[in-house]
Amino acid sequence: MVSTPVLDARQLSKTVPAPEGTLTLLDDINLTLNPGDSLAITGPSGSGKSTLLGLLAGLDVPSGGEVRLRGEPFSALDEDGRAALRGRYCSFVFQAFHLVADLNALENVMLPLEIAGADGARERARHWLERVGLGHRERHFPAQLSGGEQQRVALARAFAVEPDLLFADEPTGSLDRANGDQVARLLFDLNRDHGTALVLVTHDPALAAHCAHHQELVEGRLSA
Amino acid sequence: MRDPRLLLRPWRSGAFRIQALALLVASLAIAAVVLLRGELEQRFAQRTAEAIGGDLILEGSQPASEQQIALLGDRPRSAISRFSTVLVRDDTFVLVSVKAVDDGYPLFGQVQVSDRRFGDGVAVDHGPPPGQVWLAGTALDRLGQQPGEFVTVGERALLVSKVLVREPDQGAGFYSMNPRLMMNLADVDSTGVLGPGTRVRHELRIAAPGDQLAPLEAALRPTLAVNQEIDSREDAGLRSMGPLRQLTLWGQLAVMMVVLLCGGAIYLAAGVRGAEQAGRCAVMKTFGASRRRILTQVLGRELLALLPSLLLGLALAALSFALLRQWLGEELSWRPPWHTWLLLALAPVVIWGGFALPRLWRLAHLPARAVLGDRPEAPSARAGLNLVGALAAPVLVAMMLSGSLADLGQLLALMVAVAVGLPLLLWAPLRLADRAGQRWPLSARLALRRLSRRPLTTLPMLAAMVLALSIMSLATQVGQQLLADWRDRLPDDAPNYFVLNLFDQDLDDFRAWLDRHHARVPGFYPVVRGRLTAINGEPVRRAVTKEEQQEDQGQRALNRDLSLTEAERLPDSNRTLEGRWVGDRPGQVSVESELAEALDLTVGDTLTFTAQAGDLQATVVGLREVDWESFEPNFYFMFSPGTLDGQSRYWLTSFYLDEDQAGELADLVRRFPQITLLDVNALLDQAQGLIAQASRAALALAALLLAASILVLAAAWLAAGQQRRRDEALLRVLGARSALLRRVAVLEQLLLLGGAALFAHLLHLAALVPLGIKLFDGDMPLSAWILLPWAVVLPLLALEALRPRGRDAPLARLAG
Repeated sequence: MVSTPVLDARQLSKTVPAPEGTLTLLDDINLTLNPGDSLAITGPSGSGKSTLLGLLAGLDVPSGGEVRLRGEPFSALDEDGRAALRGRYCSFVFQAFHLVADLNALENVMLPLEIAGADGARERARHWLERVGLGHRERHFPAQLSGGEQQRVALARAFAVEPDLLFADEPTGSLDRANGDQVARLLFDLNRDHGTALVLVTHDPALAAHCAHHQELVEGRLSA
Repeated sequence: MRDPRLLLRPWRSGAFRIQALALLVASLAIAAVVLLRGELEQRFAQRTAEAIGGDLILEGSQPASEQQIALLGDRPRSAISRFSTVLVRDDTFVLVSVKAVDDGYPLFGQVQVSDRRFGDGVAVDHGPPPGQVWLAGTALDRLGQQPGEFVTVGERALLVSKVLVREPDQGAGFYSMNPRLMMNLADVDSTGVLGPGTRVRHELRIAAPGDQLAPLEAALRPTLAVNQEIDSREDAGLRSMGPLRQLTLWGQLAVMMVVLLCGGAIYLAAGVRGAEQAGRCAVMKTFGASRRRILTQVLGRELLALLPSLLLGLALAALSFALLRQWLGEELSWRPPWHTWLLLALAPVVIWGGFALPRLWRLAHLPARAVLGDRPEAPSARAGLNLVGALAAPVLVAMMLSGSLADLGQLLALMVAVAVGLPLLLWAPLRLADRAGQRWPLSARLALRRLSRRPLTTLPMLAAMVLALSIMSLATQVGQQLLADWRDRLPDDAPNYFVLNLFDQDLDDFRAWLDRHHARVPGFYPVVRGRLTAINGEPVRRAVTKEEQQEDQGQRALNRDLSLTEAERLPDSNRTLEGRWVGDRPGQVSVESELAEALDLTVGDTLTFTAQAGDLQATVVGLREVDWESFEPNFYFMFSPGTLDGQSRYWLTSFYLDEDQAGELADLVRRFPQITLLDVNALLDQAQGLIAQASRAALALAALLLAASILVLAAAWLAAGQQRRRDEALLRVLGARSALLRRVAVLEQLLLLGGAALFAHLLHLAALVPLGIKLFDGDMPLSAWILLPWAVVLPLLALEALRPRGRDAPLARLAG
C-alpha cells in the first residue's frame, strides 16, 4: 500500500500585477515529499524561495496549481480552514525566530499546542524545552534570551506539536557560526528522531547538504 | 513653502493625525482653564472691591492727610465717615450706624433705594444730596416715620428722602447690626455729633484697578500714621477666596493631567512618525543635505502642518469662553490681554517641543549609511533629552496655568502625586493579574500579557481612564442626584425657614404667631455680634500666627464678626465632647470642637470678645460637636445665660411650617417687617443649581481627560502596531483561526477598559465614603450612576469587536 505524501504540489505558479504587465514569480513547480523526507531548496536572493515556502505552507494563495497537505487541498479551504490544516500537520522555524515577545519561553512553546487544543500543553512544552537544553530558562522572555537560545525555543515550539512536516526558512541565517551549527545539529537530530518531513529553504550549501534531496530555484523554476 | 499642498501630506499619516488631535485637545483644555480662571478672578476681584468699597481703603480715626491725597493723583476716590448716633422722636430712641459719603460714593456698584417702605428698589450711583438722609426701613418702623418726614441727627434736622434698601459695600462691622443711615459728608460738621472722643472711622476709598494697586499701596504705606491702616482688594480677597483657589487648583490639575496624557500620545506618535520619516531623511543625507536643511524641511513642515489644529484649539476655546461670558452675564467680563492669547498659542508648541521634538530631532543625526538598510530607522533619542523635554514642557505649561509661583508649587506637587501615585497604585493589581494569568486560557493570557508586559504604557493609560471615568460618574451622581437624596432623608419636620433680625420687643408676638400656626420651633437664640480678640490675654492676631500653616477655619473665625449666643440647655443637634455644658453663672462658654482645635483652645482658656457695648470675657468650660446639617441654628460660641447682658442683640430662630401654610408667611412679614426670613428650600434649590453647574464643568473636564486617554490608547496601539501585526501573523502561521485573534483583541480592550471601569467604581465609592459619613449618617449614598463608566466602555468594546481586520497574507505581515 502506498502511503499518502505529506506534501504534494502540482503545477504551482504565482504571478503578481506590475506596471509593465504580469510578473511571474514562480512557474510550474512540482514536488512531492513523503514522511521522513528532507528537501533543501536553495537559490539566490530574490529567486522566490520564501514565496514558494509561503505557498507550500498555505500562507499565501497560488495563482495556479494546487498544494495538498496529507492529501487535503489548500485550494478548497478558506483562510481559517487553511490555518486549521496547517495547525494539524505543519510547523515552522524562521530566520527571525518570531517568538511572541509578551510570552515567556514556556508559553511560546505551548502556543501551537494551545491553538490546536492539545491536552497537557504545559507538560509537553516543558519536555521540549528540556530537549533543546533550555529547561532552566522557561520563565525567561525572548528579550532575555540570546539569538541562539531564541532559535532553540523556536525549534522546541516547532517539534512540540509533533508535526508531519516542518518548514524551516533560513533557520541559521541570523546566528553566528557556533550557534548556527548547534541549531542545525538539533534541527536534523530532531527531524531524524521523529520522522518529520522537512522543507528547508536556505542559501547555505553546507546546511542544504544535510538534506536527502536538494533542488535549486532559479528564475521561478525548480531544478534538481 | 512653494507648494501649500505639501502641508497636507503629513495628514495622511495616522501618527501625525494623533499628534494633531492631541495638540488640539491640550490646547483646548489649557485655554479653557486659563480663560475661566481669568474670568473668575476678575469677577472675584471686582466683587471684593465692591464689598470693601474700593480697590484700596485708607482707614483711620483721622481723615487722610494732604500728603496722602497728593499721592493719589487723579484716581477716582471717595471719602466716607462711619460712626454711630441716636435718632430721637418723641420718646423713641433708635441707635443707627451712619455712613456719611461724599460725591464720589459709591466707587463700585450701586445703592438700592426706595421711595417708600416695602416699595420696589431703584439702583442709583450716588449718595444723598446735602440736607437729606436715606434711612433703613427698620429705623423708620421703630421711629414710626415715613419718607418725606424729617429726622434729627445731632443738632440738625434732615429730610428722609428715601428708604435705604441695600448698599454695595454692606460689609459686616460693629455697626452692621444697627439700622443704617446714609447722609452727605458735607452735613456732618453741622450736626455736631463728632466731638472729641467720638468713635468714628474715616475711610478714603480709592480705585486702583489691576496692576495699579501694588505701587499705590507701596507709596502710601510709609505715610501711615499710627492710627491709620490700609485694606486692599487683595488682602480682603485672600481672606475669602479659599474656595475659589481650591476650585481653580483642581481644574488646573485636571488640565495638567490632560496635558501629560496628550504629551504621552504625542511622544508615542512621534516615535512612529520618526520611523516614517527616517527613509526620506536617509536619502536626503545621502545626497548631501545638511542637518540644518533636514531639520528645516522635515520639522519645519511638520510644525507648519500642525498649525491648523493649534489654531482650531484656540478658536474652540475662544468660542467656549464667549459662550461662558454670555452665560455668566456680559457686564463684568474679563478681556484677556494679548499676552494671555500669546501664551495660549505657545502652550501647545511647548508641549510638542517637549514631547515630540527630542525624538524627531534625532532624524538629523541619521547616518547616511542607513539608506543601505532595508528599513532605515531614526536613531533613538538620548534618554536624557527625552526626560528633559518631558519634564520641562509640563512645568512650563503649569507655570502658564497657575500664574503664581506659590500656586505652581502646589500644582506640581499635586500633579506628581496623581501622575505617579495613581499608576503606582495600579501597578500592584497589574502584577497580581500577570501572575494569576499564567494559567488562564491562551486568548486571555495573550491579551493580559500585551498589557502587563508594557507597564510604562499601560499604567498611565489605565490611570488616566480610571480618573476620567470616576470623575465622570461622580460628577454626574453629585450633580443629578446626591442633593435630592440628601433632602429626601431630612426629617419631614426639619426646619424649613430661618429668621434673623428679630428684636426683643417683637419676641412675644412672634412666638404667639408661630403657636397659632402650629409651627415647630427648636429654640430662640439671642445673637450678639462680636469679634474674638484675645485668648488668655494674648491678642489673637499674634496667637494665630503660630497657626497660620493650619489656616482656614481658625483664621476665618478671627478675621470677622461672629454670632455669639447664650442658652440654658445644650441644643439637640449638639453633643458635648469634652468638659461640660455651660452652667447658670455668667462668664462661661462652650466652643465648637473643630474651631477649638484650629485655634488650639482647651477647657479652662479665657476668651475675650469685643462687641459693640464693650469687651466681654468668658472661660471655656466645654467643647461641642455640632451637627451642621440639622437645619437648626448652630453657633461656634455658646455662652452661659447672662454673659451677653448689656449688649445690643437680636434673636435668631428656625421653624418648620407646613408647605400648605406658606401663604401665611406674607402675614408674618407684614406683622414683623424688620425680620429677615430665609426659605431653606429656596436656598437648597439654589445650591442644587450651583452643584449642577459645577458638575457640568467637572464633566467637561472628564470628557477632555477621556479624549486624551483615548488618544494615548490610539498612539500606543499605533506604536505597537508592527509588533502586534507580526504576532497576529505568527498565530495565523501556527494555525490560529481569526476568531481567536478577534477574541484576543477584544479581551485586551476588555481588560484595559473594564479594569479602568472597575477601578473607577472603587474610586467613586471611596469618594462617597466621607459624603456618606457627613451627610447620610454613615450609609453609602449608592446610585446607578456609579455604573456610568460602562456606558463609555461598552461602545468602545463593541467598536473593537466590529473593527474590520487586515486580510493580507500572514507571511507578508511576518516579513513586514
